[in-house]
Amino acid sequence: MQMSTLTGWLSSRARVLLIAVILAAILHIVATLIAPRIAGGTPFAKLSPVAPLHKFLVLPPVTPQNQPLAFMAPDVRYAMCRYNTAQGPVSVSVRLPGRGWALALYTPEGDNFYTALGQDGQLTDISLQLTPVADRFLGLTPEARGMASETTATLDIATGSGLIVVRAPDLGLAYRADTEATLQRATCTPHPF
Amino acid sequence: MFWLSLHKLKRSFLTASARVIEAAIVATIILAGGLGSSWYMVEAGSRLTTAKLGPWISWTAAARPDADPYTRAHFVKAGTLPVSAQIQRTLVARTDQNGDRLHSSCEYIVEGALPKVEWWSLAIFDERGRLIPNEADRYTFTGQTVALAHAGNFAVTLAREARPGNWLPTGGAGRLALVLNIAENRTPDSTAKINAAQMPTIRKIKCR
Repeated sequence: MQMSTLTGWLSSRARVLLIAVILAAILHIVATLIAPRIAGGTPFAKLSPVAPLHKFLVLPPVTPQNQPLAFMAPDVRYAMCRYNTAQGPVSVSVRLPGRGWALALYTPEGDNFYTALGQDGQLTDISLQLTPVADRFLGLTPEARGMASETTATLDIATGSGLIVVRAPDLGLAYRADTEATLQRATCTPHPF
Repeated sequence: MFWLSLHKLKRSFLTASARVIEAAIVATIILAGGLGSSWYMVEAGSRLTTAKLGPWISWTAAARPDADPYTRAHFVKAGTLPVSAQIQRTLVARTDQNGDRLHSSCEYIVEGALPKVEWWSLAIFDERGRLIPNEADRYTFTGQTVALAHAGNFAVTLAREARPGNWLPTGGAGRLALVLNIAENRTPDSTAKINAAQMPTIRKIKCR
């Protein structure tokens, strides 16, 4: 009796229930898409006060007292630079001395859109040119002006703002000074229009 | 006349109540179905977004430019900056092999062998991803720092008090999260080839 009452109620309200399900689906999509935008403690927001603009900062070893982000690997040393191409291209130069080293570029939403890895037993020098997303004339290249380029194997990447992170394996006290010296050599230089 | 008015009043009250109940049911469907399912898919993931290997869970599109909206929301909400899943696999275990929550009041042994990977690290955090303070300043073991047993196997003990061998202190952190980072020579379609049998096991030894 109760089952038939429920079935009768459901069939009489089929249209309302269908609309409710459709609205729930829309709400699901909207909530999922806007979650990254409304989340307060995004990694970029947390690191912005720490990571300087257009300058690499070598973070001290990750410890409970010094852990800017959740789940940061304690066996990794980090150098970070915040960039913004609104005022012009930004050139990035990083050396990856071996296995375990990595260069990663992130958008403010946390997408890792470029990665370079160190290779076992060889030095890898990376030169990147981060260019504005907007289509605008950036001037003549050194080659176009008959000059030798200052960098080799430069890769152009169109991007707005974000974070550059260099990761180095923390091999212990004996290697720490050498690791920090290599991280300190990384550069992140703006070239205003 | 009076009884008729009372009857009408009662009927309109019942009709209004039924409409309120219907509206409440519809609102519940919309909110629970919309927000609840979104929260679940972002927090816990699904087969579409995660790979489950025993107690270990990894988000298969972590930090990739082509990541799905659930994966993006998960990592932004978690406040982490993961390495792209294309170059490193990050697996998180919040339960032991039997599905019980990892807790600092218990002692566990993590055993396994990862012979085919280039590099790995195993670190212990509290449930919010914070390192657990300890006097030994010990938070992680890597493939280079762990003491191996015979046949290349390793065994790491998670315990509050010091233990011989590879010991990771859990202090009084409460619920725990164990993170295994693996860098391996991978092709884009090799994700599915790693199976649960190759992963380290997490066994509970005892609880207080």
